[in-house]
Amino acid sequence: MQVIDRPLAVLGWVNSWISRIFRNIAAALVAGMVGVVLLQVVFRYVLNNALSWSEEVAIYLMVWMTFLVAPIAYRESLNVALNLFTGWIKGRFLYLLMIVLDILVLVLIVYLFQEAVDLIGRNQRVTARTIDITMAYVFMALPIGYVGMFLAGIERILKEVRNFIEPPKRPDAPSPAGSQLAQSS
Amino acid sequence: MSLVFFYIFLMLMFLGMPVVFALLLGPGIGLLIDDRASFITMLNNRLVNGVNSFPLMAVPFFILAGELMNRGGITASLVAFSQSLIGHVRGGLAQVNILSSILFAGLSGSAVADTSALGSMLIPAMEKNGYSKRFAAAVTAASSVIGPIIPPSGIMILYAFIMNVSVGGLFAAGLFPGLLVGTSLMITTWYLSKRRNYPVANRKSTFGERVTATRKAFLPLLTPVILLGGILSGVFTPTEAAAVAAGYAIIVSLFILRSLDLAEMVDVFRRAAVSSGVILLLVAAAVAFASAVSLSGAPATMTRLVLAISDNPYLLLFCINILLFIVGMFLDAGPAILILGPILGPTMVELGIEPLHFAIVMCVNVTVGLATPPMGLVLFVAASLTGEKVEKISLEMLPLLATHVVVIFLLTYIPAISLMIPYWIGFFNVPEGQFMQTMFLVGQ
Repeated sequence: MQVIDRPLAVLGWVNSWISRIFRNIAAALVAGMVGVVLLQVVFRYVLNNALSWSEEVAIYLMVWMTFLVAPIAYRESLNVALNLFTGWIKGRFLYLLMIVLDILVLVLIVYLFQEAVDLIGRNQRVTARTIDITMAYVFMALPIGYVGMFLAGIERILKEVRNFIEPPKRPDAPSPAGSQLAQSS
Repeated sequence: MSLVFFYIFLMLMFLGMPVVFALLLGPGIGLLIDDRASFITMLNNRLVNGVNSFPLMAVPFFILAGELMNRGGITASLVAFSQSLIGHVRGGLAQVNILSSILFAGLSGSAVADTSALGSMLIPAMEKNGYSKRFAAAVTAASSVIGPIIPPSGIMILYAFIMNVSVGGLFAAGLFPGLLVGTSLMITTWYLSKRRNYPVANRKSTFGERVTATRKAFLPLLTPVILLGGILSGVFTPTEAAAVAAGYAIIVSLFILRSLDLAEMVDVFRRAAVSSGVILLLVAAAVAFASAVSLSGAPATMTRLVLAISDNPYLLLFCINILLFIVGMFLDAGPAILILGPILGPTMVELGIEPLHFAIVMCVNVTVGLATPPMGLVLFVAASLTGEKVEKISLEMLPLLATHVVVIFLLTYIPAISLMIPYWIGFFNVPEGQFMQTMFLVGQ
């Protein structure tokens, strides 16, 4: 098990740092969004001078926030899933299934990463509508998020492989469909 | 373009892949098979476009505001207010639970937040008062679905975004249906309380006590008034209103009530960021998926298929409700809306159903789905709060669920319940001579 446990420990350490940093930046971005939109309201009603850039800035903060949260959500299994049928699968088969699904997700992430790098390249000179930055800065959030997701995915797979080889005594079965959150509901 | 992508999506989802990834991999793999790889090279663009929306920003803001109010001791003042009003009737605490849900719904747009906030407070109190734990959990879960029906509502923002209808219009349309769900639950509970002889909570409050309770709940109760009033009168966009609500909650809990210190405040922002990020990513993926759906011509196929079965709107609305109810048993409300909205919506509008009306039917139905077994988010929350099994709570909830179903059909066949307010405000126009048809589905 050494072969898996060592890299898993290192990766877990790296990923928890990434999570911590991304989580704090995302929180700051939310604060920034609230601030910008409140500023927009104040300028329109109190100072009678509508801001031209506020909506677009707030939206780009939101794009960044979304992609910084993506690795955290993936690592901590916060994404909503339908765990109806997986509830019937027991022991090793469950871990095998999870490995296959996570590999598929990794393939998707690698593909999206390559495309995102291209996208940034194509947008070096494209400027945003109301503010003086190029869209490359906006799209930069994507590859950063994908790298975080990739690392999280590798950690997940290593864990699942270890569980597959040596199923834990008390299996930490996946929690019911995203029960921890889904605040929209 | 074939529907392979849809079957792949379904398969991945049933195997337990998170819905976000299944939404992207379905079209990804499907279009590779169909040799239309150009779709997937655009995937990043579509993802960014999926969250490139100002109206959508109301979602993180309402989540933040809800989180702040939840931590800031506002729940307690709402419950005390409800108790002073109706605590003295038979089944008092059960009624207080439902009334608090109605009031809480005006502040928060989330059924899960409602269950956890009110449940953690009222379930222990109900148990001490002589109710079974199961019934306490059942009432909490059943009444918390009012949260996303009475505005503000996270689910309605998602629907408005993916289906391109007005958030304000949907909020206006949700007001009466939410109150209807609430009062119907109260009637059912009243009947159950009589039969099972549930206790009263307290003696009737004096006028003075009621005034005190009202004063304490005044600031939180003002929030929905500012929110709705601001949105419907056009002073704020829903997103601005949500930001104002969040700003208001920050000031109240940091400086006026001092219920949160700075460290806790930072934590609230972290949690709000993560919950919103998860939802926004899902929205982004759903937008990419929806573009594959419309590329494939599925809505047109669907319309043809449905119309081949019947062109009777009564029957079709009935079938769609059954379909949504079954979907709601298994799938969370957000994904259900984001996936099925673009497929079902166009068909019903084609049949002459007012878009806002169908929106309410769909939103209420999948929201009730949050409380239906075997997969229901608020059921899970209620179960984890009480330690009771989901099945036991569900069994106890049957009369309340039956009430929900009756209300869903009332809303389906009497559009006026949802459409009256948005019609008065002017969110949509009724063509000459079709008033009765639009509002009551009669006189075609």
